[in-house]
Amino acid sequence: MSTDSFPELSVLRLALAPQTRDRHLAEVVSAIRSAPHRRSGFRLSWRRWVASAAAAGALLTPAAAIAADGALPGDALYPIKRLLEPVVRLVDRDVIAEHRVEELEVLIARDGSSDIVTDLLIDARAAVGAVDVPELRDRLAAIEEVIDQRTTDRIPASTDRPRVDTPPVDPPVTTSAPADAGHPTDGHAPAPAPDLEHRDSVAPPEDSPPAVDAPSVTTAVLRDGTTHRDGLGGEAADVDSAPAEQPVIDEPAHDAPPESGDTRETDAPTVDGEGDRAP
Amino acid sequence: MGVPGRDLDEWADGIRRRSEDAFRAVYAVVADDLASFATGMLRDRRAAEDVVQQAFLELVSAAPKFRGDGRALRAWLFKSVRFGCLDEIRRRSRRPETPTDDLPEQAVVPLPGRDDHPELYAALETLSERQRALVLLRHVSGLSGEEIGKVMGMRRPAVYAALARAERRLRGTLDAGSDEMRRETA
Repeated sequence: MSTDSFPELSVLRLALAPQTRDRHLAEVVSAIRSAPHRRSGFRLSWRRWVASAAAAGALLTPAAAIAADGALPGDALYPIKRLLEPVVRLVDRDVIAEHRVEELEVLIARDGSSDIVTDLLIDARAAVGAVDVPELRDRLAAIEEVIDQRTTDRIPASTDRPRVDTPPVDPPVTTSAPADAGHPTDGHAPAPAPDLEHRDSVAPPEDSPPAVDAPSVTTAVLRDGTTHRDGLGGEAADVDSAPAEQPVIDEPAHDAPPESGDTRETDAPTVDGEGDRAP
Repeated sequence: MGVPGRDLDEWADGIRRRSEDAFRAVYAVVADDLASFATGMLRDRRAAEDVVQQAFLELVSAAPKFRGDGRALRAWLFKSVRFGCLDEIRRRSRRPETPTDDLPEQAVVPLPGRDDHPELYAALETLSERQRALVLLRHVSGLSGEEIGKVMGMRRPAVYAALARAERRLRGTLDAGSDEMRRETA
């Protein structure tokens, strides 16, 4: 402290008045109490938040892409895989078709859900059709053969049932036999129509013993209806309870009654509405 | 006269936490030195008090970000007061002088410090703002060369060199004023 050279300046040293001090301190305390308290936790400014999010995205996107690479339909990461495919496609145009075929192969090997396989097969056909890769076409054809084979194998061996070629939208199917041939009493159950799922709610006439196990028929038709929709063995209308002697029906007989005792109108389109009614 | 250096160390952490006790303690230690420095810069005690108060309010806002010990805290406050003084000086330079003849008589109230030691203030006003700050920080507030460097944003050798020039100039002005007064008295 060298004030010796300027003793004149010592008169400039002053002391604040007590009231001035009190006023200043009151203002300071008020400012302290009104100041926002610091958050104890770690807090990011918005710039740091954006930078962190970008960095995390830059790090996680490749990781997620790698992790999702082997995902299959139904997996949690599968949407990420599908989401990133357009980006990967910029580098490899055939990647989407290849992914679909690979996924189908894995699902077939695992005997996956038929619904997922069906949906995936549709995607695969579209993807393979969009690229010109014979190898993928061959692999897809092999997969389709396996699916067809499995659809055929699902028919229980105990019932040597015939295949009923049923068009997708057809009136109730009857046999090619005479009109009364479909009556249960003759030992030949009528072929089920594609919309037989409604029939299990319709009780057959009491005087006619049910030759067809309605719930079983419904189940079979539902399963086939699904496969028929996507063309996977849809040509076969499986009836579990159909007798072994059931003839193969190639064309629906519109003039024959759909089933004995079925007097209601069906939802299926018909060529001749009168022919669908039971006598 | 505040104690330069370590007396504020124990309060630096409290300042960061916005402790009222810490602010009261720091105010008690340095407020007079700050007010003396500001009064010498502005030649207006009331304006100097406002500048000191504003410095502490700014410290309340900046407290969580403050890093350093008691010496850094002291330098921070002096720097804030110096900037407050510069703002006030610039404000005065932009504000036209109001003719006192146009004001009512009761409004012309002498401000405290305005008319004290007119020769001393006249000598200080011969210095540049920078030189005046150096002299006041050194000889009124009692800061060390290192602390002055922090307040003024100068390296210590530059502080000593500039301070020496300012002291020579002020001494010359004061001595000249004393000789003139002596001649007038004789």
